[in-house]
Amino acid sequence: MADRVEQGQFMTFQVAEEEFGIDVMRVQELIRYQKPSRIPNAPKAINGVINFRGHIIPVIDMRRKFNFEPGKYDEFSVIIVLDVKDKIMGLLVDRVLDIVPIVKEDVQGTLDFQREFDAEYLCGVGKVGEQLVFLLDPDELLSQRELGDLEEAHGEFDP
Amino acid sequence: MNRELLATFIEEANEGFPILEENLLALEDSPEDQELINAIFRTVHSLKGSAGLIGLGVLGDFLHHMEELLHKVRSRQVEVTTELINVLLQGTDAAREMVARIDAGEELEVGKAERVVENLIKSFQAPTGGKRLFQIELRPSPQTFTTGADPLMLIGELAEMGELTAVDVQTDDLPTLEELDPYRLYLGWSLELRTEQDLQRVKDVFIFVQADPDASVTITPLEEAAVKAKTPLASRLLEHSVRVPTTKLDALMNQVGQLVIARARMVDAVLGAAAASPEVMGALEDLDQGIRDLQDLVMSTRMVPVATIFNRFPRIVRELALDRGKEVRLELKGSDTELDKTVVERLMDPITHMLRNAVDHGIEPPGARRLAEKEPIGTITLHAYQKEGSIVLEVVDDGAGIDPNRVKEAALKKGLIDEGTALKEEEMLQLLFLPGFSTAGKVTDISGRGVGLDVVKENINQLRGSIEILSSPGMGTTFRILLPLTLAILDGMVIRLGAERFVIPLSAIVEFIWPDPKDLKRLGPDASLLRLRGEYVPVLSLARLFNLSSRDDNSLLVLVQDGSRRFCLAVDDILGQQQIVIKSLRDNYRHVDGLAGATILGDGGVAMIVDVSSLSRLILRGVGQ
Repeated sequence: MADRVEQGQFMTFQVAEEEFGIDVMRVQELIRYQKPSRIPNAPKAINGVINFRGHIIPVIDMRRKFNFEPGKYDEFSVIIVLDVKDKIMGLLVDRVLDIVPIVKEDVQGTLDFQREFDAEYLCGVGKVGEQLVFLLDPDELLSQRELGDLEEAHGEFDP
Repeated sequence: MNRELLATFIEEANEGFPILEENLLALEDSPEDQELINAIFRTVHSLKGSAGLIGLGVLGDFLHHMEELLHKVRSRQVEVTTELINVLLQGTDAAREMVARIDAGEELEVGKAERVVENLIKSFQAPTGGKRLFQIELRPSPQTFTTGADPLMLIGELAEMGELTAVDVQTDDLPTLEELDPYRLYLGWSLELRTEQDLQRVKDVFIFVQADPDASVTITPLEEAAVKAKTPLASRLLEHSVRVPTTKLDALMNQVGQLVIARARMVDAVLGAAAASPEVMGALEDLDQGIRDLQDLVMSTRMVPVATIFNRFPRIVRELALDRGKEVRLELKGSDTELDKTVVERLMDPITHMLRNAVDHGIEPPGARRLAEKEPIGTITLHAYQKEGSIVLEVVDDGAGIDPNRVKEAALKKGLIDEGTALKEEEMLQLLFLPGFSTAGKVTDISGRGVGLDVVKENINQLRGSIEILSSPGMGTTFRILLPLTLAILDGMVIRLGAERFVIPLSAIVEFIWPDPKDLKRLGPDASLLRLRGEYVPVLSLARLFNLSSRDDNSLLVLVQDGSRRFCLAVDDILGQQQIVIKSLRDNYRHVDGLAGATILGDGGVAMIVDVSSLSRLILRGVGQ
């Protein structure tokens, strides 16, 4: 697992009481929380879609994604816009904390208590000082399973 | 090989083959039409030249044989017969296949099929007579190089026809080296050709050179009395145009879409401000007009006449009819009607399907038609026309027609509808579009009519169009397709459902209804019926369908229609009409059932676009259950 982590700069953010990190190179932009429009019959973790500079992108609520208690959206709530494969998506987090360098030696690949979360979204746990940071694998965040794996034959037309 | 040149050639070839085919089929009907023969000749000649130019020798040689045969037709040495048309069509197919192979990056060799066709073509060529001598004075236009032509190719072509007994270069106009413009052609040639070919054939080599007013070519048969050159051949119609990749047009269209959104936001912002000055309003109006004009203009660049696909159908119908032992005439009407290029391309399959249906099941065999006192030759009409901001396409046959009651029986047998379902005759016919209608095999002799019609409907729905079927037994069947002019922008009605906004395409909306509660009858958790002017119309709760909390009291209904099917959608509020740009939800998310995409509204928020025809499918399945 640890080999999935490229060492480098990580953006850290907070969801509920936990600290997470994501490769800063994958972050396109940070935007202030705006209320997404709901998508009918979407998976629970998908908060809706927003207009990101003319693109309509889904927003994943990280609290719901990781089964935390629902929280309030406040002035610290941030949507992290990510490039994932050929798609753009947003992660709704409680607050963004810092950008920190994490070296390979500080990343632990295997963890016992990962059961709490879906381990496949993580690519390891990094150590920043005394603080543990869960490192997210952006490519796995919105997996085919999450998207419902539905490319139905009858579909919308892409103009 | 130059990739760009190759791509251009493949495009040219793919445009040329359908024209060739169309003209060949037309020639079959009017074998004496010299203009048609000339047009066919020109197409083959030009393709041959281009193939040679980019080094596709095998294809060039092949087309050369076709050209030789056509030349014989042109000089009336070979008569126009159905066999001849067949050979030329086969030749066209073989050439098309070769181009496809080149396009796929495969190596070309003279395969078996090509050899057969080649032999066939050769078989039509009459033995040639004695040799003749021609004196040729060639003076191409000084601008020749800028057109991509090469005089050397012309001379090479002459050399292939026989023996060039003399080649003199005229260098009189050659300037000094300092004054020489390398892009200008200063040379002329005097040539003597000994060949078995006749004068017309030699002239054909220069068919495009002669079209240029700056060029001069004189050909004098030396052993005959000098014959004055007749009127120059009809020059190729050269429209001044630039080839632009469709991706660029798409990007342009997208950008205009952004502009339309920005305009709407601007209007909202200005109207929201307390008091906008007349200057601001005036400027805004100008901007508005400018954007609308730009939008129309960009849209028009994507429009192509339906002829680009219509022209392929006579061939398909001809072969189908031959195969099925039927006699069918295909009439094309409104071929110059223009539609979005993407739409036109995606119509090929559904129309082919409907034509096949018409030939297979619609048109009766000649004997049966005589018995029914109809003309022995059946007619299928493919008709395109514009009507109220939509494009209508009709496939009409004068065949046996469909008995709606038998369709209903078949649907009952297949369990697609319930015994008690009350349907009008028009509605019975629409059952043919239900998925699963045809899968039960040949239960009845009309079951074959349903084959794949659900797929056709699906294809049309994806183009945001609708399809319906009309028929009168004994008289024939009509498939009518309604399509939007463009796919990228639509006029929509913004409505509210709970906290969310949705857009319903204006083209699908019939009216808004504030119903009297006593006209509503609840059928289940998700559906009700509304009595509207003596008719019952299903009512669908969008909120329940989409899992949204809303007022959901059926106090405001939108009557929509999909083809001939009408139903109501319960909404909370009507917010207003707006021109919207359709965005795909698939780009960053995935397809959502019941939605045609999403759009960005004037305030920057996102609204989902309701897909009326996919909802209509839900209703159709739900009715009577």
